[in-house]
Amino acid sequence: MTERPLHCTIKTPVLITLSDLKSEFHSGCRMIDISLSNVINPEVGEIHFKNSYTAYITVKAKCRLPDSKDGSEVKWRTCVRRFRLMPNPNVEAGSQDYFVLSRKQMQFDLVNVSALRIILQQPSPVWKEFKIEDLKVFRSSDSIKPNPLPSWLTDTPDKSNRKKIEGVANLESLSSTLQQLWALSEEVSAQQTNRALGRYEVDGSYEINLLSYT
Amino acid sequence: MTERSKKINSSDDIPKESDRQFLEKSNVGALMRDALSKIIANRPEDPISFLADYFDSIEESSSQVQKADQILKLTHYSRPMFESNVRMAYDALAGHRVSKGVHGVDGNVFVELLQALCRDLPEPVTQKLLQKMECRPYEAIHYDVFRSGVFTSCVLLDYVKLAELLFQSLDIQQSGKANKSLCDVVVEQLNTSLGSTRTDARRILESGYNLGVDGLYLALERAMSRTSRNASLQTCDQFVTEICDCFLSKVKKFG
Repeated sequence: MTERPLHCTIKTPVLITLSDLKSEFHSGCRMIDISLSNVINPEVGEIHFKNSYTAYITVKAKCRLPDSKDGSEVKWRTCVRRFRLMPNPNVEAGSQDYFVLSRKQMQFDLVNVSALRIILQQPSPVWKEFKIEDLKVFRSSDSIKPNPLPSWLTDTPDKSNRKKIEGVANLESLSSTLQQLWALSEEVSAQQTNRALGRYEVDGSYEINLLSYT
Repeated sequence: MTERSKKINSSDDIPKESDRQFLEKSNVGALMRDALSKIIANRPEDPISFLADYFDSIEESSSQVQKADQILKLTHYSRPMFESNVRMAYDALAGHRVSKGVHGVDGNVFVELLQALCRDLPEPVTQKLLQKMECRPYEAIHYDVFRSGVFTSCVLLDYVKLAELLFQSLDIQQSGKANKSLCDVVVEQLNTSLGSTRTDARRILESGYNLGVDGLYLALERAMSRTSRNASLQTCDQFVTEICDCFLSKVKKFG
């Protein structure tokens, strides 16, 4: 991945509990808030992270409407619905894997996003602590194309209707002679010595004042 | 054999010498041995003329520079024997007397040798080469520097021959002059190819394309469409001088 992740503020995960603090209820549900308000053109293509004992992941997004002048927020929409990270929440499998949530897992295109909420769920009583690490949000890769091949590599010129150039008898022999000249020059360039003649010269002139007195 | 000599010299009183004694006396045996070993080592393409040149060089009393020049001309620089020949040439010049009690290869003999090697090249080319490989007369020339200079000169000789061949192919009317714009395009293509760095694979591929048939055709066609009907002409020497500039750009100046 040569792209850099979007600069977003990722808040610390919050364990969701019932308001009644007396009962020991472990909800097995954490939430991470991501704010994309600093991003100029917020659109999300991929979300990368490393799992650490999370069983399911849900992504909700709050999109800014382009024509809303007063900035009124729209309600949260579910983008990724309960994506399974661990096949069996009680067992180790998938607990330490690296994941990428791409457009395929998303219900709709994430454009004009103002905030994201990532909800982690772990129903198993075996894993009390669970989280995701190295959370990175990327733009969709359509905007960044790989370097196209140069035209001379992909061009297949039409040789059949090639007119003869006036003054050039044999293009092939000209080309091969030129390539030999090229090879000779490169050979010489490779064999040049680095040994200095031991001149006390500065910029081609012999400057006595620059010689050391010691 | 002794019988035959008896018959021929039957009337003489000169003691009859065997063939072996004759060879030893005239030192021809050693001479032939040297000649054969040189042939085997240098593997010339034309052994007869090689032998002729070899015997010529022994006969005339030549200076150290001339001797060194002859040694260097024995074989092509691509052969492994060339290294030994350069060593021999260096040793031959090392006897040069710089001043009282001081012997060695100094700038004087080095420049003389380079001039001898390049005597068949056009004058401007030799001048430019010597500018790059200029050594002050009093400077001591190390073997590495000597080898580099000699090697460059030998490659340049090949280069100039190829360049002349190239000119012949551009000079279709055999008039001694070729279309200048065509020549310029050719030199330009070579220059851009040489300008790319050696380790950059993409640039090397691009250079190969530029000098290949397709790239050349495109460049030449562009040039021909731009110039008018009566384009200026260029002689062989001018063309060779220009194209040698490409070569010389790759030669490092001694420092």
